[in-house]
Amino acid sequence: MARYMNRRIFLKGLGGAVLAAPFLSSIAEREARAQSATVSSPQRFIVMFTHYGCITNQWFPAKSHGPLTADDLTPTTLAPLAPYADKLLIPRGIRSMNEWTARMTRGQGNDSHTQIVGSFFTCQPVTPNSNDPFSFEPATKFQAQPIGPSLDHVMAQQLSPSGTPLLMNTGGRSDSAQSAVSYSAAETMFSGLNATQAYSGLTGLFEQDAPMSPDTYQSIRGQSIIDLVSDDLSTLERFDMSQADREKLSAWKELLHQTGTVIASAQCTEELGAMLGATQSNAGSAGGGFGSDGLTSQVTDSMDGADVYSSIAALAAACNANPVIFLKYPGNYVFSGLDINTESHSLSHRLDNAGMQGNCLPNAVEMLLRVDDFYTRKFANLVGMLDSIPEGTGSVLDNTATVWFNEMSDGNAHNLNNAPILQAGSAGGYFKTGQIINVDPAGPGAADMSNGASMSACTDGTSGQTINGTTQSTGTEPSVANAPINKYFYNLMNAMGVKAGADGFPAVGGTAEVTHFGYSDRTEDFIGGEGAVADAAIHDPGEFTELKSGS
Amino acid sequence: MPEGLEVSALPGGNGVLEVTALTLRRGTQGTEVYAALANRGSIPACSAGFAVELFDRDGKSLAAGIGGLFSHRFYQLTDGTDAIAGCIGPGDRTMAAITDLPPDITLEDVRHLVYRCPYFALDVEPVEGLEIDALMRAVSADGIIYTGMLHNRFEGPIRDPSVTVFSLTAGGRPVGSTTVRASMELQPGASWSFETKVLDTGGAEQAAFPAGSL
Repeated sequence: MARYMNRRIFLKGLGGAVLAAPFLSSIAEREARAQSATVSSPQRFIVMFTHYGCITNQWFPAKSHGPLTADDLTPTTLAPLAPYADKLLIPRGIRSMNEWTARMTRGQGNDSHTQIVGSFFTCQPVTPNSNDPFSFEPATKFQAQPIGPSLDHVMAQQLSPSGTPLLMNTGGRSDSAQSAVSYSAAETMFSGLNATQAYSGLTGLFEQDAPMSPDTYQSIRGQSIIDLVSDDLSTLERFDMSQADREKLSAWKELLHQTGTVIASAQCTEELGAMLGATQSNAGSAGGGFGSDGLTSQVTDSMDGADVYSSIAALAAACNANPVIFLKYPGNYVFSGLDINTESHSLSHRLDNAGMQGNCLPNAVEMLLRVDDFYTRKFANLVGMLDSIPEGTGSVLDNTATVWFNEMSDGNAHNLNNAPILQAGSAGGYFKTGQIINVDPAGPGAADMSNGASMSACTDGTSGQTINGTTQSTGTEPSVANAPINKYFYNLMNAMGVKAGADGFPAVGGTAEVTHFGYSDRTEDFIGGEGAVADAAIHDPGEFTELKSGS
Repeated sequence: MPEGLEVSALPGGNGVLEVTALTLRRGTQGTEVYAALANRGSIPACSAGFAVELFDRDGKSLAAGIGGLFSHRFYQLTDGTDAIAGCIGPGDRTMAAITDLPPDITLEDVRHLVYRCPYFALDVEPVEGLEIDALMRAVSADGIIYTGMLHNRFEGPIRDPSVTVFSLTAGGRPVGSTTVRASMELQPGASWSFETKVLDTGGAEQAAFPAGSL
């Protein structure tokens, strides 16, 4: 039986289960409690992943710690998200694993993208290893893949009905090892869906002309279990019963109060899809593919192709089709709709090719800011869609952790410290929101952490300046912003209800909190690949408590 | 190559490398692409790769893959690191094999192949490196076996040397490849006598490229 019960199926049988429970064994009570908890707070993890970093000086708000307001966002690339400031969390000072450097000081020597994307969500080294950053062994540079599964699969194995995440390749493009981030197992790349495929997968969940039980209807209206079964409970309380049974019944009522409101976000219907813009027709028009910039092409008056993918993600979240949803944006993309004719990888190097040294491409930084603005607006639209779907006393957004991850910090430097990470939604109250929180171990809580040096080269709009990516001069000083991303992943997994074994690593059937994930949480441990560093391990287990509400 | 297949470089950043011949075929493990390219620019293209994406007649993406581009020439970075890179010099010919594309692609459905070539454009100067000579082919009932000698002209040892041999049509189009690798350390000045496995796509000519780890 699927672990993630269809809400309607559960609600239709709600009353009977509730009333029977006080007279079942203590084990049954625990199961009922777990069921109620699942229904009352369906958490979802939604990721937007983009390539090649950003212009960090413009992307980050000026302060690196403290309350986040619309005024903090307005002067930055993130301005389109200002209306949602109180629902955002910007964790600062985080590093992802396995950085490529010309001198191989912070990770393997395979390739400046292959090892980064392979390790990003796996926190595992790639294989085969290369100790030569300029290797002329093709297998290590372009075909290397991680030695373990990625976060989306680890979470989905415990949370998703199918055991796999919903991965959508926006733009209808395919990935190779140099751009793929989703791995179902060691060296096993996972293929994403295009818009049509993803939408088709949801239509089976639509309930058309199906009779709705009164309980389901009232639950959708936001009533609690206790309201729904109050008449039955009152009748039961009038029965002549032993003191022990009366105490059990009283305890059960208290349990129902504690589990709170049974929330049904919205009806999973074609109408909701149409409201969001997730329709068969739009999905067919958003496919992208050969020779077209499907991401920026208008599909409707108010939506482009990327927005259609987001609407399908929002619909999937509302329908509880899958609690782990990844929107993967393509690498090597030509944003012709943004009047950019240089493909995105070359542009991130601020050159007209994928080299790492040369004269600046004219207007490179201005074009990069245009791409950053596009991604921000897409994330804002996704957040807006999720926030538009009522769920209980809030919205679907409130019950998600919707996170924008970027492959790297600055695209020319390929640095992985000072990661630009933006979260919307508190995952049902697990995370703080309306905050920028600096978790950098070099200065936790500091409000003046570096925003990087992306604006230090190619800013005059001409080809007169030169750029050299191997020196990482446009990145962030490597001694700051090094809190391991593994710890944020623990937060996300715990927020979603992923369980760990006794060793703290995620494990199906586990009961403990997740405190460990991946090969190591120290990027230097990745030098030489698997087994090369003798004490490679998780050195700093446990999540960032600073990010949790109530802390 | 399937009739009607359109091959084009990804606009806006492919750089100096250009496809001169290409084969798309069904292999024993999956769909395979073999390509010959030339450096049409004036700078070496270092640590280069050859990435492809296949599309059907409706423009739908079918698969993507990437492989390394082999080189005969080796260069040393001038930034003080003394790092060595394999580079495709101006005017040089190079080749790539991508053999891990999904096997379920119907070749007749592939209408567009878009390629791009990531590489490092670095400040480098040429150095002696790996050389292949005495390349011979022996034809058997099962196919062709290649033999030859790999010489280490570097100042330091090379680990796990390998040789990749492409079989070519008379026109120079690669139609298959085989790689032989040795788990050994090849000292400066030393040579390795190699013999490939049988290649069942024998062509009229061949081209061999060395590789290894420093």
